[in-house]
Amino acid sequence: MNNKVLSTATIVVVSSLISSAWAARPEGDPTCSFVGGAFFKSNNTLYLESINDENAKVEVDNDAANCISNSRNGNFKVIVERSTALAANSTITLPVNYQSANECVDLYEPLSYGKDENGMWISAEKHDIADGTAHRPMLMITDISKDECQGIKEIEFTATGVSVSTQTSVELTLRSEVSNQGDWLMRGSYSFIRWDKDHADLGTVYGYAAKNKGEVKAGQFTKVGAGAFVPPLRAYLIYKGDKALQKSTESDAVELPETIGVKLIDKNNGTTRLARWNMATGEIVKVNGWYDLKGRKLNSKPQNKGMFIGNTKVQK
Amino acid sequence: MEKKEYKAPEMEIVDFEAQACLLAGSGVEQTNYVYDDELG
Repeated sequence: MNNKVLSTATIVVVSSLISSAWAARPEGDPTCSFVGGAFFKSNNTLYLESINDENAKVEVDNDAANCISNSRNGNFKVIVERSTALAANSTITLPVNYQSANECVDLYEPLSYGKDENGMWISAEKHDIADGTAHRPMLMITDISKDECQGIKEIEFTATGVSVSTQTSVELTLRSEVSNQGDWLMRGSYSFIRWDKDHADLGTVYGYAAKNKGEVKAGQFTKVGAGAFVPPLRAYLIYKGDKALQKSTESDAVELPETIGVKLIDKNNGTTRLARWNMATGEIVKVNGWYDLKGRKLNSKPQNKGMFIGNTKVQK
Repeated sequence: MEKKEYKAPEMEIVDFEAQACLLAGSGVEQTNYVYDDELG
């Protein structure tokens, strides 16, 4: 008897702790319900769940999409509920057209993949905070150096419309600058995916770590190993090109890298933020090309004297 | 009057390879770490 009471009390306490991690949804039944989310007309807000659960998925079917479209009052708010707080780098894929409504979060659009002059694999991501398109995987950069940007488990967006999302994933093909073909896919998840040891894609998948684990820090872009998983509404990178590149047995073949650099390009092309990413991620990465100390990229090695950051040295 | 030459101390060349940071996510040295937990 006492054990039953204790168990019940424990469940209540645990449940309240879980729910208290997110802001409370409005009381009463939602106006529109679907797997992995709900829309409340009372506060004109769509709630979407990006949680760690083997059965988790976000499925906006036709009925739900019509219900939301008919119930919303103009632009509406979207709150993505995560069970793990945002690290400095993370991803997002949404079934809505949206804009970021969180000052801590910047959106970057995947552009291309290739190698720099040092042979290092590079992913280029363009800063495009203005609009996020439905079903398009995006990179999110969170300025966790600010106190108010730490521990974010709810990400807020402003949406202009909703789209049906009954597929388990969506793909964005990225052209490789090496093969000049669409070898890489940025795949957005609408359902929970786990890469077990026998998973066919293992060895070709990369993503952002959500947590500190071993030598990998939260926010680091890393190769995915057996047991890794991704909740709905996020994204990962997968190689679909020449199989010879994946698991090479021939000495002259090239293996896929363990890590890939992610080059962030701001709106005014060529300007990059040097120190910020280092502070945020703890990562140390070689600079490609020449930059002045304000992070402005130069077309060539500088001839005049001054301080510049280059491949190996400061040019003075 | 003898002309004196003043020579400014030479600046130390600082190797920024290990300090400068442009990219998020990868290291100067390739690592063999494989992550087996939640992706963000």
